[in-house]
Amino acid sequence: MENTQREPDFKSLIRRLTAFALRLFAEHGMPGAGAVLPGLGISAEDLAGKVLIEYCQGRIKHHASKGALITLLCTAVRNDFYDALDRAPHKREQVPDRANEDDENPNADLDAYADPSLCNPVVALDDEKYQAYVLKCLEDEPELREVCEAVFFLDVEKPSDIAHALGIPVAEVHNRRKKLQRRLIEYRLVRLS
Amino acid sequence: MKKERNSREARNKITKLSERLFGDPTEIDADEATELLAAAGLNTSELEDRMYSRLYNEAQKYWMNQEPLPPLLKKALADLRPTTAPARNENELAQQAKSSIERLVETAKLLPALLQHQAPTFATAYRRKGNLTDSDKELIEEAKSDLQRKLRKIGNDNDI
Repeated sequence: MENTQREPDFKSLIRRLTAFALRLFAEHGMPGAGAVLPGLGISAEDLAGKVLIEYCQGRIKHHASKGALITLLCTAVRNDFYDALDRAPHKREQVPDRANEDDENPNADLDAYADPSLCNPVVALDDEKYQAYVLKCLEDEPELREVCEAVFFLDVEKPSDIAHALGIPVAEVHNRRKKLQRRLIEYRLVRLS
Repeated sequence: MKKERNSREARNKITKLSERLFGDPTEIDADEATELLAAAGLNTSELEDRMYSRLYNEAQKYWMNQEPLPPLLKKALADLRPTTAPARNENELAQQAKSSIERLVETAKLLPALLQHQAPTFATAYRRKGNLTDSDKELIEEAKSDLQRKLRKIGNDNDI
């Protein structure tokens, strides 16, 4: 448990914070280190770096009584991510109708041609779209899908509840969660290779 | 107002789902984080170097204003200082020397494995093939002799 008395190990902190930010991007259809928020050009690494600087400057203050430092910083990353999504230019602009797009407008937004459930992070701000995206990533991973389906459709919360619902050991739930996280982060990379 | 509330509700719902699926952020330890970074295509030492640059740029603003660095910023810069950066004091110099020697020792440990190579051999598997004319066999024999000559030459060069 980190506290204000013990100085943080910044190498570990940066890795954990950036990994969390990458997961956040991946969950919203933007996997991989090169992914950026459309129209803003902000990457997972940028968000983690910004929060880390704010913490180093004392603008984000950690009190041991309020929980682990990493939780505080990850919450800050998550809030910044959603705030950035709300600010993203594509949220303010009308996305052109794909059917009406043609060669007359060579500068048309190419995002409009892509599958919105995969590429447009705005749709992921809907929990149903979020669920659909995560399940789509796991089309060929039945064991991982099971965990997601238990969480999404059976409304189970704790690992022990998931284990009970699926009839598997709790340790297996933890294993699958780790695989799931990794699978999601590398999803697009795998598909493109 | 309604839009803001909807956005907030969506954030909360997704956060709840995410934490149920993946667990609390505290569950990502440093080792797992390193694996996840690699899965996303990020090199950890390069990431640390880039973060150091970001922090260094922030520190410059304090130096320019002749203000003391906040303690956490100072600690972060010390933790992330690249080993390739010039040493600023004897401790850093000793640390860099230690790292260099450790790298050399690690490389030296690999040498025996690298030196235990086997000389390449030529397998005459073609002899089992059917439907070979005499001229085919002649061509193959020539190629075989040529290769064996080259292999002998490589072997002699390695002995030197």
